[in-house]
Amino acid sequence: MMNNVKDVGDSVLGFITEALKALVFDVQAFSQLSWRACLNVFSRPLYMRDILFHMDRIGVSSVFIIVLTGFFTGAVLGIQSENALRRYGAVSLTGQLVALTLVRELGPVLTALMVAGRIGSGIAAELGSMVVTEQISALRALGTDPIRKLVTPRMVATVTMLPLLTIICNFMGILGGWMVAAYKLNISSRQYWADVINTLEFSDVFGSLAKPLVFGFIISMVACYVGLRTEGGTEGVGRSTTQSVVSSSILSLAADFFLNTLLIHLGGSLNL
Amino acid sequence: MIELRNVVKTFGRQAVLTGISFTVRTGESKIILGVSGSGKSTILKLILGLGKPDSGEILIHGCDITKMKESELMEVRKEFGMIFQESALFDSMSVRENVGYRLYAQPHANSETVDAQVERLLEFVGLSDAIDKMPSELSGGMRRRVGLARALVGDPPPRVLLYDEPTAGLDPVTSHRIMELILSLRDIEGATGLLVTQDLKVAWFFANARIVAKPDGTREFMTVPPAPAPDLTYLLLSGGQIRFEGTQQELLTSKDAYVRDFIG
Ligand SMILES: Nc1ncnc2c1ncn2[C@@H]1O[C@H](COP(=O)(O)OP(=O)(O)O)[C@@H](O)[C@H]1O
Ligand SMILES: [Mg+2]
Repeated sequence: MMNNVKDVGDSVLGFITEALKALVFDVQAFSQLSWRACLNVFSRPLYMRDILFHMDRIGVSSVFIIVLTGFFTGAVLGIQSENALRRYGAVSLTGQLVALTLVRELGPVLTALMVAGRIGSGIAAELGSMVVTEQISALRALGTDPIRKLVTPRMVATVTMLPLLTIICNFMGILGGWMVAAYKLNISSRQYWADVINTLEFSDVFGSLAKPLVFGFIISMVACYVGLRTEGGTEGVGRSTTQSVVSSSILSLAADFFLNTLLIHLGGSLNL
Repeated sequence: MIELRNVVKTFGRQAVLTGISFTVRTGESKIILGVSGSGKSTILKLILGLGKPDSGEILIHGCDITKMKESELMEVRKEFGMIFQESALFDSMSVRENVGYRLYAQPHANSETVDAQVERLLEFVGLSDAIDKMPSELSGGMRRRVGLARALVGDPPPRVLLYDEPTAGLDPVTSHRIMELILSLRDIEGATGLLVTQDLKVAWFFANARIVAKPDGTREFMTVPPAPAPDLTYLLLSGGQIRFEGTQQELLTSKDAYVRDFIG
């Protein structure tokens, strides 16, 4: 009996140590990959053609879902705000509420989550299948650094496109809110838009553009890391795809928490 | 010149190579035999520096590549052409871009000379028509030939060719065609070759057939006289070790039970 308890204890302890070791290894390898991907930006050859290709692909394939996401989120915010604001007789503040919620928080985060699902999964699947079909080995055999050729362009493209997509999401959201405000809440369009513009401060817009830079970096690097680490044939590619979406979504949300803290702190100390 | 000294390689807990030593001199050919999973592909990848052995040395022209950085390995790899087991063509690029990859990727590449070299090599492997196709549109045999052409591009062209089961899974006619290409690289271009296979027929063919360039420019293919090519040796892997190394004569007369079993 005592022995059994000890055995269980040992195996649990062993399991935890193994998991911690794997985590430390992942963090280390991920940091190394990120560091090298960034260094490559500042040295030749910079595969400009690949960067433009991926910017185009990311932008074009995401615009539509971002437009829909933004629009419906804004509309829902409009509807919900009526509920909340009526109690205080402040339905006229709908524009403020929609704009602040979207620009500060939902725009960047929802765009990031959509891109993690749409683009991050694609990157992980693509690199994963390149690993299992030995295309990565072939690249190296032919004298190309796969990080420079594959990771850096995807990282640069995602980091530049995500702020643009976020702007689109914000705008569509505010538009959705306006539709609800104008046709359901009977708020005049003039008041709504004046509200939106007056409420938004520089720090809000700054945050709304700074966040997606970080999210874009996280999404692309996690997808590349997970993709390049793929093992076990086609099945492994599927696993990597799922893992990339889950990990990059959670990491983006965690980063959002810290960014908010940081931005509020910055805003306070700089009096923005 | 390639020399492996006591190379050990494990994947996780699986010991794949447990002390491999052999030498391939410039101009020589070596056939690496072994059942599936015996570590043949692993050896080729280690020679290219695509992975590091756990211990042991791999000398290319006397320099130990296991201690080199990736940037130094890039220089070493220029001399090698590798034909991957599953072709490993780049899905996102056309046949032209695949074959010319090594040169198009160079800064200041002169696209006209590269185009010319790509077209010449595609003609060599008999795929001039497929130049603008994507890899997904090609059959297995065509993919293998594109992979061969891609491995041959270079400035200067690679002198050491590593063939990883170049005909596995192909029909006899296509296999024959690919073997002829490989033979002409050895017999006419004088390339050093490492041929990995688990198929004895392929091994016999590589060892005993010959391609000769005739004065009028044509090439003649000969399977007789059935004498093994000079400077050709066999190597049989088993259990992570070299079970046999020697000439065809020695292989055929070996008393080792495993060797006898393998050659049937
Ligand atoms: N990247 C890898 N990760 C884990 N195991 C591997 C890897 N590459 C090869 N192996 C294992 O090593 C053994 C030898 O593989 P390989 O060299 O491909 O054999 P062969 O080419 O002779 O069929 C196999 O059992 C294979 O599962
Ligand atoms: Mg193999």
